[in-house]
Amino acid sequence: MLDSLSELFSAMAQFAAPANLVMIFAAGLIGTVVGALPGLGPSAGIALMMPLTFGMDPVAGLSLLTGVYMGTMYGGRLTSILINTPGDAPAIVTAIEGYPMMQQGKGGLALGISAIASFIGGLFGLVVLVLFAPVIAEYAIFLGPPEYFMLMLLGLSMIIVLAGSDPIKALIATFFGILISTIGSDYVSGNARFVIMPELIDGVDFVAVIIGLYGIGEVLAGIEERVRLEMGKPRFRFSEFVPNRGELRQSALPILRGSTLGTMIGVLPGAGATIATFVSYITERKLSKTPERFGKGAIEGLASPEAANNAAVPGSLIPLLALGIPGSGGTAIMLGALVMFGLNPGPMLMIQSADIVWGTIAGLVIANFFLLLSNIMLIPIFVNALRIIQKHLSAIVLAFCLVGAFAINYGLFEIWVTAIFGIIGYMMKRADYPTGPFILALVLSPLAENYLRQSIMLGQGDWGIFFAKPLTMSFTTLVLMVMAFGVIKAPLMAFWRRRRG
Amino acid sequence: MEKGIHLIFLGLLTAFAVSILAGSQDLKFADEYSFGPGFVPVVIATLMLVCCVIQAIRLVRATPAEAAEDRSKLPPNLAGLALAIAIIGFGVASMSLGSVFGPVAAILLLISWGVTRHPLPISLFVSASTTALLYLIFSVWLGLPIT
Amino acid sequence: MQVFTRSFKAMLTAAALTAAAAMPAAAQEFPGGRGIEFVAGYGPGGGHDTMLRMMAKIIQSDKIVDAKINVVNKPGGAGATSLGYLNSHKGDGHYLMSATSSFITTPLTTDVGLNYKDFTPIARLGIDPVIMVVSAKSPIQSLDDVKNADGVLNIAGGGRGQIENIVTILLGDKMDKTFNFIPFQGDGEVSTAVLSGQVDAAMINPGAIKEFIEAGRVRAIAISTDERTTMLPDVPTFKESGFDVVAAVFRGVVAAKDISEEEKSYLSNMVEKLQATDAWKSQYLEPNGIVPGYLSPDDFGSYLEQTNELYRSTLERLNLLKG
Repeated sequence: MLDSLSELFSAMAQFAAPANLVMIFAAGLIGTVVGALPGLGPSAGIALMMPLTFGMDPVAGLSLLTGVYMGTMYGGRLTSILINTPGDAPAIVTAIEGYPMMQQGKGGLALGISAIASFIGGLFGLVVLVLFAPVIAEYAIFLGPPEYFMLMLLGLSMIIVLAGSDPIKALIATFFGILISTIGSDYVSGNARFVIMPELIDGVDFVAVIIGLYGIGEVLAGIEERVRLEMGKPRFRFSEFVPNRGELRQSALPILRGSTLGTMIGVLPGAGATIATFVSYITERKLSKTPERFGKGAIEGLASPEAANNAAVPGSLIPLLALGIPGSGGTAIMLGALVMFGLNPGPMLMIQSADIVWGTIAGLVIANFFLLLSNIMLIPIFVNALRIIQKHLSAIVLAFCLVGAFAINYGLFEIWVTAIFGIIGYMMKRADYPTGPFILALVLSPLAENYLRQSIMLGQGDWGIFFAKPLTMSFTTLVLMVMAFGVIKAPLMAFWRRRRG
Repeated sequence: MEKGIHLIFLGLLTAFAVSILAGSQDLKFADEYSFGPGFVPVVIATLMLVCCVIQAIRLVRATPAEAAEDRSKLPPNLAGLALAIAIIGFGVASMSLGSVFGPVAAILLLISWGVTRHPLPISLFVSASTTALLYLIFSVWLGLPIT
Repeated sequence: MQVFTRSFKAMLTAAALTAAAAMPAAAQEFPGGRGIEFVAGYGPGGGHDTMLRMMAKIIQSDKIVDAKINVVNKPGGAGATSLGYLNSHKGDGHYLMSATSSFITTPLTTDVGLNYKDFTPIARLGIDPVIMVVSAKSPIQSLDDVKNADGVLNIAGGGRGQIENIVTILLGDKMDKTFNFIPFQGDGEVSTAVLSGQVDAAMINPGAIKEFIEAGRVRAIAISTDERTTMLPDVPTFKESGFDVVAAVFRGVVAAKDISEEEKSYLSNMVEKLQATDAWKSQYLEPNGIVPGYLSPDDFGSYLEQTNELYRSTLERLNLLKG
């Protein structure tokens, strides 16, 4: 544990250069603005920033991405509170209590409390990340292709959770992702699959796909829907943001509960920040002696979910960094970023690339402090920036996507890929297909396919390899149990409800 | 409208699955010890075809009442959408002449002026300032070879 | 951090470019004011890029030639993009491209419309042999133990059809034995597989496993060079152990097709002088674990022919040749 802390402090010392601090600060600001813009959430924020990291070393690049990720969690609440329009899914709950507070003239307080709650939640999650991630990684060296395959299978099974309401649509999105991922050269068989032109030898570029899907796709949807936000000209005095002692005491315990719940739910693969906010909101309402105040500007109902959604970010990084399992669309993109930097996601990451992991965590800690400051001091600037950018959002995002796509390989091919996936992204949004399963399948299925083939080859054709060693067997059993539970959970719950009702 | 786009999307996916199936013909289904490179594409493409067909049938059978909700919104700006796609297409095609920032500035201007209907001076300003910002970020700060 | 030094470098280059443009084209002889363009078929930071940038640096610091050298990246399609780029400058000696095994394999496995004969060989600069290693706990001590082992051995290596696979197949032929070759992605995964004992042996690039050999965690069995290397002098070759397997990946440079004799000798003289410098040995070959192996344009040409035949026959056996 002391090791962890000394690693963290030495990593933080590396960041002391002013240029890096400026970059992390900017990442937080960009994340906040992207999070606040309706339609653009954490996935879009990370996707759009990815081309910027091409020229950077892994630590700087990953810090930029995690900083943006954390920033979107701060940003989502701005528009929720100010105009009752959640900037992204985890901020839906924030609007329930935050907007009534705004209407009662306590908007400044709502923004202040939620910023503090976000900060504490984020910090809490980071502490858990620092303490636990290395513990899991200690056993990594003993894992081989069979265990890795089981982990990837576990990751893929999270599609069930990300599926949304229509399982067939989720299945189609998953299959689509798997098929796209098979294009390109396959090192296990040595074949080049579906390479109809030489540009496809290296496969369809992941970054080009996500920029198209989340960037251009949203732009096209925005143009078609004619979305326009009417932002007023809210004026706040600085003193309004600072809660008094009574308000702090009122929100202290909810923030703590939200932080704990958020981290725990964030760690669970598949359940992300959005679920964490709902669970913590419901918890606060149940615990409250005056539940009738909820929905009318209850400070606990604002503070707890805000802490929870920020705690879920470092929480979700635990399975990502320690095991290579992404639990959400955002972390699936982060996983793609790790692969892009030439890192092997999985338990070996903490051993082979400890400096990069610690550097990234250090960057996130610094980003969280910056975000607290900027979200208290700079709110008027954010509001004005949002008003200007929002009008020209489609054009700006579009330009960013195109230049970003060119930067992938300095060629036009990736721009065309981005443009095509922009149209696909638009159609998926209109026809209501979830993008989470698509991204997860795109990233994980080639890994799963290769590990499975390597496992069977190791067993020289014998599937018994999955039960050969005690460690492998316990992995297999555990994963099969988790997956079985996932499949029978819904019918089981329905059965219980019918029995009771 | 949603239904039309949904059907087009399913059609594209079906075409994609069929071409993957066709392309898998010369890939081995099984290998010496393990399954071959053709296994995953063939199985998944078949499953996707089945799902697309089921989804298409469900969609065609669905009652139109479902689609008739929420008339309060503005009608979809399909003309704007088509124009935007055309501008992007021509812009990207013109990048083959050698410059990236030039076409990007033109795309920005045309989208801002023609699609989102901002006044021309504002569009010019947005186009120029965004392109300048992108140039500063990518070429100057990150030093990437983009022209 | 790196980013900022890089942008500073970019500014310097820009300044240099303006200065060069301002000067009148003084000499009309090759290469003239245009300088020479080094073409990397992979992105910045990759093996090709690193080699060319190191070459450019040493050529300039040791003043081997006066010409201005500019490294450009033409990544994409496992080198195919750069092949097409260089081919579009047929007859022009201002371009020098890095060439490794993908220069041979990409045209063999995919339809690029070009092959090694469409370019002018300039020099081979070094080779990356393959070393066979086992876990320190393994009972296998020598190639004879490999030959006498019961059952089919699991051998890890890079992708199928690549050099590690070729060495495994050739060794199997010499021993009259079948091996189960398991492809892993990259040297990192291969070394993990052999370190943790998941496979019986591994074929790997010596540079990637050297520190584990020195630390005593893996045992080196044989190396695929003609003679023992100075990097690992204690490791016997396959050949001296009685199994004649000599195969390696090369690192070299080629120019466009149909360039003039004058241009060709300019480029080959430049590279020959470069590879003889101390800086090249201490800053490039040694840190990257590359075995020196300079070949002149003509020798490199016949070497390419042999290598192409080796790959072609192996890929044919594996049924991986294009359509």
